[in-house]
Amino acid sequence: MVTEASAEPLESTSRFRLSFTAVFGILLVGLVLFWLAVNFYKTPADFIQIFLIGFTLGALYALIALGYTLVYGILELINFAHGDVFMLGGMMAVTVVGTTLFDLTQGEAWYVLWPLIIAALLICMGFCGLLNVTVELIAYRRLRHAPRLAPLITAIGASFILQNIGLAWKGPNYVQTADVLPAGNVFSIGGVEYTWEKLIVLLVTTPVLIILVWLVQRTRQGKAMRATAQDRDAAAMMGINVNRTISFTFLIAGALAGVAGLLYALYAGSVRFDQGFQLGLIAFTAAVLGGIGNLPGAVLGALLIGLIQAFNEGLSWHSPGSDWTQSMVFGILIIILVLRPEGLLGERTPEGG
Amino acid sequence: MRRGIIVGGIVAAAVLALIAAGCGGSSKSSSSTSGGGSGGGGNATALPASSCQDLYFEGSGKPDYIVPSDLPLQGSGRTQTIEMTNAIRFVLKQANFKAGKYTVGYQSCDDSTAQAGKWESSKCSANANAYAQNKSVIGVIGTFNSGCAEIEIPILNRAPDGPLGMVSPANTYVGLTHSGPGTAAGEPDKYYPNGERNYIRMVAADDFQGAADAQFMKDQGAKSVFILNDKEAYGLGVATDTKNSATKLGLKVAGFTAWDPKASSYEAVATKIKQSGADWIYLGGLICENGAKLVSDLKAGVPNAKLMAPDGFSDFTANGPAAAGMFITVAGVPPEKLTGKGADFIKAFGDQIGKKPNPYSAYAAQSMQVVLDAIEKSDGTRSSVTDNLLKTDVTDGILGTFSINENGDTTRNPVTVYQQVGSGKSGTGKTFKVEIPSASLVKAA
Repeated sequence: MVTEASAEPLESTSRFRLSFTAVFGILLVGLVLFWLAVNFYKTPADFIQIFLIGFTLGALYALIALGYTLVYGILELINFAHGDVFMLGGMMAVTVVGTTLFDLTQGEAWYVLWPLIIAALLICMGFCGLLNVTVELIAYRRLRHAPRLAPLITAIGASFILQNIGLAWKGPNYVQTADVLPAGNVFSIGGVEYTWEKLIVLLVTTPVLIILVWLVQRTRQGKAMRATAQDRDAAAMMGINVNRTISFTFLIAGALAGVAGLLYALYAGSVRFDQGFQLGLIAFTAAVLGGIGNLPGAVLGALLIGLIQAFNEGLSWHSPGSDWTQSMVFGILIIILVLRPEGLLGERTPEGG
Repeated sequence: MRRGIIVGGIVAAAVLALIAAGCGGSSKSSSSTSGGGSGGGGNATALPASSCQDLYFEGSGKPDYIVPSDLPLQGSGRTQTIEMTNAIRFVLKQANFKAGKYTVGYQSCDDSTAQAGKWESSKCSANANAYAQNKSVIGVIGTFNSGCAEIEIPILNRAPDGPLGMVSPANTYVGLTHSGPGTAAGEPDKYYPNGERNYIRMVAADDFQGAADAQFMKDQGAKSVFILNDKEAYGLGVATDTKNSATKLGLKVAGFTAWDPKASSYEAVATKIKQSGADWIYLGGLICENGAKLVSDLKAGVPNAKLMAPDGFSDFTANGPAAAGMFITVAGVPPEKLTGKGADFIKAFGDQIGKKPNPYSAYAAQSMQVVLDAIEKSDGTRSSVTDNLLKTDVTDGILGTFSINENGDTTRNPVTVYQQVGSGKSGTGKTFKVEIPSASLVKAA
């Protein structure tokens, strides 16, 4: 799939660049595949273990990346505050799950644990959804017809404001959450261990993604969203309430950030006020990698980034190691954008790409 | 158009990444105006409130001089540093706010920001400039972090009527005072631009700590050690020292790599360490660099490996539940092994704060005592105090008997290995062993 991606955009460029970039891209992908294959051959159990770690992380990134891509799809706005909405969702999760409200501890019976986790999930989704809608209402709505730079800057401003709210709320240290998810392995075969925590992340993420796709593809509201994304004025003429549709999109994006916040708090175990920024940046990268505005693209990009990070840090044979993780992620972003500016699954629009 | 927006977004994101570097030392400006001091005569001008707390002085009127302390009072290590300021106050009050014929007041200044959750370079330089320009400041206690000391020492070195002397209770980076295998080119001379030394420290440098840590792991039966660092001057320095000593001792170094403080998970790193077959893991860095999460992922991913960390993890209340059983070294003597004046201090100060003092409190107290002694012997000028600091020779002090050599290093260099017991508010370090590494090993570090 990656090979195909590197070959495709070339029709639009000159013949010389066509061959050069194609050869370069194929060579690079071939090199990476070779590296992965050798590592798999040498230490198959570790390879699968690391794949599972990366896949879980990628699933978490996907939830955040979808928020970026949804908002971008409808407003062509990069909502920089999104990562911080996610961070506040994590803090909300710590508060709800921790001693303040539910006081969950490790080893709760399933009939206590699950209803409360689902309740916490709904609280976080509601909280982040409303927060995101509020941000849109205050910082973006008035600027909808302003030059592109204006909402971009207010987005950055909103990001800092939310960050400082997180700082004032929980202080500068990492906030630890209790280990409430069931410990132990789902399976352990030949040195490959798959923990319940990881499975739970997937068990929550997958239905959320399916519901999202259903919502956008099959419902009336989804149709309104797609229409608004295509042409706001035409949609308004057709009787679609554009403001409400945009608010709804922000609500959905925020709710996704809420899910991510809760899962992150439970899975990673610690949240800090500036974490939303870093993770938001990674998720944004994932969205661009997959083709911004494209829902499956965001998921694909996020999974790729999760896997790149894990493989880079975890594999033993000639891996650059954790000193280079960020450089690897953004290096790959640059390469893919150079070869395919619209992203892996992005559509080429007349005015862009 | 769309591509333009994406590129613009990435550029904006990159700029933001530089601004909001969090625990990794960002560069926000902090306001700090200098008090235009007046020299002596019970007429000290307090340092600005933007960084420093109120002047602590219980004599009549104003003191002749001010001795500020420069510590990171926000972030993970807060409990520890606040206790250190109280130890300094304790010593000053015991001395009746006097050093010979001079009266001395104290101000606790903060070199950290809430945003960073640890020391921040712009705060360090603003603070140092404020000390240099306030003529009431006669000597400085600090810093806690070596990275901050690298910024402050040269500023104080060029202070008017100086150099202005600085006594650190905690800096362990080697290059601040002498060169060695792990130090950068030009160290330590680049910190002393006018050629005169103005800095001494109460703790052993990291070449001692690294040697002691490697020795300890070997003595405990380690065969192969995986060394991580947090990419900071201090963390990378102590990790390198430990690596050099371990190699010299014939320990296998299974890997040497950084941990990213911003990473969401260290599970993959743990898998790699497990694969390497290391039976010990060394964490050269600071707890505030996501150390608690790192420890918990390593504990889960490599359950059989033993963990060891240097004094960057010495706030036992911050290390998280997974750290129980982990070995942590602090350069210096453990509080309960202090004798004479030291034992008296630990008892009296412990009674005042209602718990066993943190290892660094005695070092903060000794620092204040050393400054007071130097002021007493001086003629009341900065340069004279600095001269006397470098001639420090303590007999039966809080830390026992020791002197300061021409580099500003102490002659008393034990390193204590603690074992973490409990976590959170009830977390403490149980003294495990006091290591005094051999001179040849220190040289190799």
